[in-house]
Amino acid sequence: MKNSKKDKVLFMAPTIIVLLATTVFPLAYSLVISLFDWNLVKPDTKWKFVGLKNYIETLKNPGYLASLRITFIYVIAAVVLEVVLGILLALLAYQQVLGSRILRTVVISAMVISPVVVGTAWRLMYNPGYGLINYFLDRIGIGGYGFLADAKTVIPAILLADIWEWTPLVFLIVLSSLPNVSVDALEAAGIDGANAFQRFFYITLPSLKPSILLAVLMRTMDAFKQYDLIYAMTQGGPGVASQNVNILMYNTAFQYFNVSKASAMAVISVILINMISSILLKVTRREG
Amino acid sequence: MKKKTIRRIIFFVLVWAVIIIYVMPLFWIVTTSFKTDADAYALPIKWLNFDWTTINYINVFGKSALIKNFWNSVIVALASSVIGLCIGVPAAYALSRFSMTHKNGLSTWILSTRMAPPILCAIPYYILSKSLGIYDTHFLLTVMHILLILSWVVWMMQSFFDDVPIEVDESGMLDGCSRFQCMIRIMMPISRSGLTATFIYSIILSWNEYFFAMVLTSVKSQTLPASITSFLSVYGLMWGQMCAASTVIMLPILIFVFLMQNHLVRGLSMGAVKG
Repeated sequence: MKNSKKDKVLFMAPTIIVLLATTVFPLAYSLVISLFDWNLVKPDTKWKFVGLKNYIETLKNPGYLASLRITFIYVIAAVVLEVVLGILLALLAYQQVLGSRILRTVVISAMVISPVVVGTAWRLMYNPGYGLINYFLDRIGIGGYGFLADAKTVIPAILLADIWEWTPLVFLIVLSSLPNVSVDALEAAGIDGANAFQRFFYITLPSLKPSILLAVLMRTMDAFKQYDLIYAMTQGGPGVASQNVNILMYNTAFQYFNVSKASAMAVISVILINMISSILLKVTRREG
Repeated sequence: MKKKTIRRIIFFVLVWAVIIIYVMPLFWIVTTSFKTDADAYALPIKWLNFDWTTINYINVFGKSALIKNFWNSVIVALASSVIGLCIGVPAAYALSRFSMTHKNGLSTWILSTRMAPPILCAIPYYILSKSLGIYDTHFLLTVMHILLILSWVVWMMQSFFDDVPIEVDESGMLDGCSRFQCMIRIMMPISRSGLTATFIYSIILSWNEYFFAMVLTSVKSQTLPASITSFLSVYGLMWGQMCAASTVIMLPILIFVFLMQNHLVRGLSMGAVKG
């Protein structure tokens, strides 16, 4: 097969140029303006060089650290719960009972709906006056609680919507690799007296490991970037109780127009995401 | 035997419980969009026995700019998907077929562009577009959506091309096809279901995208998802209208999914499912 250099360049160049323009260029631009003290509503501040001041102030800012804490709690809770529930759901759908096909179709629809619509739907569900969740809770005698208006319950309440939306991703990935689990091994273990739990933990789970790690990697990256769903449900409220770093960055850049500080935060986020994903990739490579 | 029957009944109940959990919020949004305000707030809940009305749709399409937002969404989704495919498919073909040094590195880099938080691109492009005068245009939003789509297109199409045996293009090239002709005349027709799935998935990504639409557009070229949050602030708690707008966003996508789900699952699961 001939592989002329011209072909390679022609085929790859458009993609590489677009990706450079949309990722490398913005990163460089953000790095530069994060060293200045630029506020869009104060034009005279544009070229005031301040060095690492924005980074130092950000890392000392209790509001930023609080939002970072919310982000990490959110990511860890979402990923752990979605992976566990996704595996259970895949095992359930793998049992051929009446409705398993419908289950797959219905569950897939959750992840293709716009997160803003998902947020709107769940906001409506949580409404203390006429939302469905409180309606059912009322039936058993608890109801009428504003879950999204209470700083203590707002994160779990949003997490529930996130789990509803993204467990299907884990479900699909795991479901696709369930046929790879060796039936012979399962039967042999059954004959040797292993119970259902032992069979799951010693045979099924190890063979699902690569796909579970893929799911963990993807969900971690996306949960870290989560913005739409939270914004549609609470806009970061009540107060700042559900304000993760992404909402804080948006507010800093487009409510207060402090683009330099927001860029510094974005660069910190890029560094964090890179660290987390390279750790996860390392684990994946070692296990896979 | 009896124990097995009980187990199947438990599984059956669980399956349908999950189905109800997934259908309920969607059912709720769609029915609320057809209710009058009085019925929307009625207790006990009127599940289906309310006066069906299209007043919310008439209001959102008549009084607000929703119809314009709808066309903006259509234009941006089609433009970014078509251009995204034109740019991404050759790269996917090259990654699948050419022998290249750093192929894995390149592939990983393309995928890793997905990791960047959207705000990282939003700030520079917001500032630039304001000074270039292209803020709030279809062009700007289309470019940002291409960014969103491109890494998926390359990743998905590469996996579809990888499924086709390499002998297929070898014989094509023996017959005198150039690489480009090979891709257009042989590989793309063979992978047309994958191509369709990739195209539809690109449309879904653009159609649902919210962050860039909110930051980089205002009146002229705002898309549907961004318009929902303006409902929030302008109308307060007009649930009926918000649900009508949500239904308009969600319904076309759901129809695609029901028609195409076997092709789509591969894209949705990052190529883990060979659909």
